[in-house]
Amino acid sequence: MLVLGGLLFGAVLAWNGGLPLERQVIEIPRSQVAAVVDVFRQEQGRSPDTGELRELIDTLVDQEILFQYALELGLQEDPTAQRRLALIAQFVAANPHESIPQAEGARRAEELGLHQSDVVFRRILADGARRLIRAVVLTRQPTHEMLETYRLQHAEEFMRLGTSRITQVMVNALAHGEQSEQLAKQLMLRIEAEQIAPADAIALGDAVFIPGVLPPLSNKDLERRFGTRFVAALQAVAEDSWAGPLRSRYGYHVVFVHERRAPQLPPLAEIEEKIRRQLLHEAADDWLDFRLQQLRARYDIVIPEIPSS
Amino acid sequence: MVGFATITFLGASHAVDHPAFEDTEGRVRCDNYSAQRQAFFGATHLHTGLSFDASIRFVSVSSGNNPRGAYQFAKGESSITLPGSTGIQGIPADLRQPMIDRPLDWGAVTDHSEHFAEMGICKNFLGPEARGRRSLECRMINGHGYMPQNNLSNLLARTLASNAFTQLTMWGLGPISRMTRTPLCESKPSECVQAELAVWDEIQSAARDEYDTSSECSFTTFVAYENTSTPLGSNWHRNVIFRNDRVVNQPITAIDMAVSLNPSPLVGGLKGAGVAPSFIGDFVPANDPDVYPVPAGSLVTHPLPNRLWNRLQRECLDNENTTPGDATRCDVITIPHNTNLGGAVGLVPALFYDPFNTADAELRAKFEPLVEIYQDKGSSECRWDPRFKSGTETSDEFCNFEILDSASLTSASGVGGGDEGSETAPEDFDSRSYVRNIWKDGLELADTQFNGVNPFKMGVVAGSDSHTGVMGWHPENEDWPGHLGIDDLFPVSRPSTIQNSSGGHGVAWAEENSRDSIFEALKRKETYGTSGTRPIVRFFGGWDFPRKMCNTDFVETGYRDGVPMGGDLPARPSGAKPRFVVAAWMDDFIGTPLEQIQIIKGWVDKNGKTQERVYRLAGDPGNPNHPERGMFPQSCELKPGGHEQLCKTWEDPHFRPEERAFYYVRVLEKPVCRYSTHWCRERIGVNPLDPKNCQADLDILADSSNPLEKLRASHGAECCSNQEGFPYVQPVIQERAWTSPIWYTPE
Repeated sequence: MLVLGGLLFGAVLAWNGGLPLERQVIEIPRSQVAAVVDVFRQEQGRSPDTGELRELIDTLVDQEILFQYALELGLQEDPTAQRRLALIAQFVAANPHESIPQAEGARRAEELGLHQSDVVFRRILADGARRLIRAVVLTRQPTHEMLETYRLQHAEEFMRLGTSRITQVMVNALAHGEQSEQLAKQLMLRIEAEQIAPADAIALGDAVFIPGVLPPLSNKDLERRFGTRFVAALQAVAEDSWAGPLRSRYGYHVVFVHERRAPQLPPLAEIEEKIRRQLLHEAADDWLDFRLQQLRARYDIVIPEIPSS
Repeated sequence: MVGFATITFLGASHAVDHPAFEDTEGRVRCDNYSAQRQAFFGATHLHTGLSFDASIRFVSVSSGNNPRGAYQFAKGESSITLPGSTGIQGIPADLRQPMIDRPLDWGAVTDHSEHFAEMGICKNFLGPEARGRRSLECRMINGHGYMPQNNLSNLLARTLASNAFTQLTMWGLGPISRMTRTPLCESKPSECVQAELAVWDEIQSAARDEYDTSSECSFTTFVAYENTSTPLGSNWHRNVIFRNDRVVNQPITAIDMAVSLNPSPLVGGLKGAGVAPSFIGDFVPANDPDVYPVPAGSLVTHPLPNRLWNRLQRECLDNENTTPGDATRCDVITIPHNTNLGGAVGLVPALFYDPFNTADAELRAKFEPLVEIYQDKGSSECRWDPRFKSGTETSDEFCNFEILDSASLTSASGVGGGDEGSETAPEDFDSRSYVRNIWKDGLELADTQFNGVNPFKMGVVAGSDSHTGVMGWHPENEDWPGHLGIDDLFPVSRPSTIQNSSGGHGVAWAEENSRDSIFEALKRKETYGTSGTRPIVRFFGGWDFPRKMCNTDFVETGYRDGVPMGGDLPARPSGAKPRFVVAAWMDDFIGTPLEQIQIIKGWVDKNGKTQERVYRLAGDPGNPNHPERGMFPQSCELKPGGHEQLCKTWEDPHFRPEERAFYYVRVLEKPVCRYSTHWCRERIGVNPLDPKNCQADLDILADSSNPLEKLRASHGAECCSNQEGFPYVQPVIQERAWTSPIWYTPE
C-alpha cells in the first residue's frame, strides 16, 4: 500500500532532503534481543516463531533508530529529558546529597554516557521522535476529496442501519384484556374496508405509550418501543400497505409501512469529524512506518544470530 | 365500530430543537428521541482484561478483551475471548468466544483504577522496554507466563490468581486496602504515572470511538472507572461515571483517599531488630472530624470517601483539572455497589456509615444518586435466609434471592481460601448491608440528625461486575461462562463460584440514547434494575391520580400530574393520600411471564422506628419458599400461568401524613431454572432439581474409572447445592426488577 501520509501531504521530498551523507552503524545487543524474547515467552507461554522474532527485533531496531534520530533533532534539550538526565547524574554523584543545578547535572550525565544507557531517557527521546514524525501528518487538514475517498473506501464501517417508517393503530391490552386481539382484527377489517388513510386511522386506536406516527426507526429502536415479536412480524409486512394485527408487548397493532430504507452510507457532512480523526491517525501511522524505512536506509544494522526457539 | 379513547400524544418524536435535558455535547439529536422517554438498557459496571484482577485470571487485553472489545461485544458487533480450556468436559469452544444474545443500548467500562499504572507497564502501554516490565508485579499480572489453554490445570490457575490477588492488593499494605502503591510504583513513580495516564487515555479513546454520535444513536458509551477502596477487605467500591468527554485528567483512586498516605514501604523497616517498620503509619486520634468516618484507633492510612467527592467537585464540577474535551463542562456521579459485602467489619464502618454532619450528608446525596442493588456477587436489596427462617431486619420471604453466605469480599471472590465458609445467620449481617435497610435508615437520619437531609436517598441500577468483558450479557442458561475469568471456568465447581449469579441491567428512562439524556436520567434516578431479563416497568406517584389509570395513557398523566420513579412526591394537598400507578410488561424475547408486581414501603413510625411492608398489587401470590414448584423438574420447563402484562393503580391504605416514607416497586417473573441448574444438567449430567438422586449421580461420576468422568464430578462438585444447606443456592429463581423509590416527605 502506498504511504498515505506522505502522498497525501507531499512531505516525502522534504524529508528525504534531510538524509545525511555519512552512514552509521546500529548494533542490537544479544542481551536486548534475549530480554524481549523472554518477555514474549512470559506473555505467550511459548517461544516466538521466526516471523514473530523478526517483528520483535524490528521493534528494537525502530526504537534505536528513533532514539538516534531524536538525538540528531536535539530532543535531549527538552525539559523532561533534561530533568531525567539530571536525576540520573544525581544517582551516580560522589555525594548524592549535593545539590546540582539541572543543566549541570544533565551535562555531567551526557559526559558519562549515561544518556545512552538509561532506558527512561531513551524512551522519552524515542517517544518524542515518534510524536514529532506523526505530528507532521496530524497537524494537517485533509481535503474534502481525501475525506470522501476514505468514506467510500470504508463504506462498510460507516454504514447506517436500515429503517422503517410506520404508522400504527394500537389496541392496548391493559385496557381491553382478552378482547384485544379480536378488537384489533375488527379494526383491521374496518380500515381496509373503508380505505382509511393512515393519518385518519390513528384516532381509532388507543393513543397510549407510543405515538401513532413514527419517524424512520431502526429495528433496534422499534424493538425498544414494541418488543421483539412485533419487529419479527413487521419484517413480513409489505411497503405502502396495511397489515395486522401485529402483537407487541403492549397489545395489538394495525400497521401501515410507509417506506423501508436499506442500510446506507451517510453523507460526508454527517460523519466528517469521525472520518477526519480516523484518516489522520491511519495516515500518521503509515507516515511513521515510511519514515522509519527511510531512516533505516541510513544505517548498517547489525543483529545477533538468535535461534528461533 | 371500535371506539377507543383518543388522547393526544405528548411531545414530538423527532427533529427536536430544544431537548428536555442540558445539551453539553452539541451533538445532533437522535432519531429515537421521545419526550415520553424510553427504557434504555445499559451497564454501569463491567471489567475487562484491563483490570488487574481479570488479568491475573488470564483475561487477556491483547486477545481483544479490553474496553473496545467490551463495547463491540455489547453492540453485537463481535464476540469476545475468554480464557480457558476448550473442547474438553463438554465445554464447546464457542462458550469461550461468546456473542451477546441481543445488543445493549449503553454502557460504561469500569476497570479498577488503582492498578492502571501496573497494567499500563505490564501490558506494554509504554513499550516492552519499560523498566517495570520485568517486575514481580508484571509476572503476576501476566500469569507467570502460563497459558491456561496449553498447560495449566484449573486448580493451579486459580491458585496462581489467588496468590497474585493477595500480593497485588496486600491486605494491610496494598493499593486498595491501605492506600499505598505496589513496590513497582513506589520505586518507579514517574513511569507509573506515565503508564496510568496511558491506560486512562485508552479508556477515553475507546469510549469516544465506540460512541454513536450520529442521529442513529445506536449505542452510548461513558468514560468511567471503578474506585476500589477496600479498607481491611471491606467493600467500599464505587463506579465513577462521567457525563461526557470532559473528564478528570487523572483518575482519583483509593490511593488518593487515604487520610494520609503511608510512607513508602521501600523505606524504613530495617532499623534494627525489634524496631517496627515505619510504613505502618500513625493512628487516628479520637474525635477528629477531619478524618470522619475513620474510627479512632484506626491507622491513618484508611480511606476517606470525602476525598474522592471533594476532588471530583474541584477537578470535575469546578472544571479545575479536566481534559480538554468537546463538551461544555464536566459532570460526574459515583455509584456504590455490593452493600452486601460492605457491612461494618471490625474498625471499618459500613459502606453506608452515618455521615458526620449535614454538609457531609449533602455531599453524599449529591454525588451518589444511585446504588447498585444487584450484580454477579449477589443481591443487595434485602436478606431473608430460609435456612434460619429469619431475615436481616425483614420478614419478607422474597428476599431469599441470590444471597451470599459470606459478608466478606474475599470469600465472595474465592481468594485467600475464601471458599471455606459456612452459612451465616441473618442477624450477623450489619443491617446496612442491604439497600432497603439503608433507605429506611436514611429516613430516620433525615428526621433526627441532618435537618431534613436524607443522605441515602438513592435510586437503583443493577449491574454485572463481570471481569470477562461480556457487557450486557446475562444469560440464565448453560452458556453463562462465569464472571471471574479462569476462576469461573467451571462455575458450578466451588461455593464461591456457584454463588455468583449472572448479573443484571441498569435501565434508564431517557428521551434518547445519548450521553446527556441517559446521564440526566441517572442523576434524577429515573431508573430501575433487573436481574438479567428485560421487562419494561413504569411507576408514577401523585396525589390526585384517577382511581383507575391502567386503561388510559397513564404515562402522560404520570409525568403531568405526578412524578416518575426516583422522584419526590410534590407538596401534599390537604387530606390527600398518595396514589401510584405501576405497570410491567414481560420481556418477550426471553418469554418468561410475570408473576406479580409489588410495592414495598419503608417508613419511620411515630416512635421513630423504621418499618417496612410489602404489598402485592397485581398478579399471583407465588411461593417464595418453593419456587421450584413452578417448574417441571425433569425439563426445567415453566408450568402454565403468569401474565404478559400487569398494571395497578394503588393508594396507600396506611398512609400517615406525618411519617417520612419511600415506595419502590418489585416485579417478579415466574420461576425459572437458574444458570447453575442448566449448567449441571447440560454439562455435568446431574439434576439439582432432583435432590434425591443428584448427589448419588455425582458420586458415581466421582468413583468412575474414567478420568474424564472423575474430572466432570470435580467440575460440578457444587451442583447439588440448594437452599437448605451450604453453599446457599436456589436451583430455581425468580428473575425480577427493582425500581428506584418515590419518596414522601412531610411538609
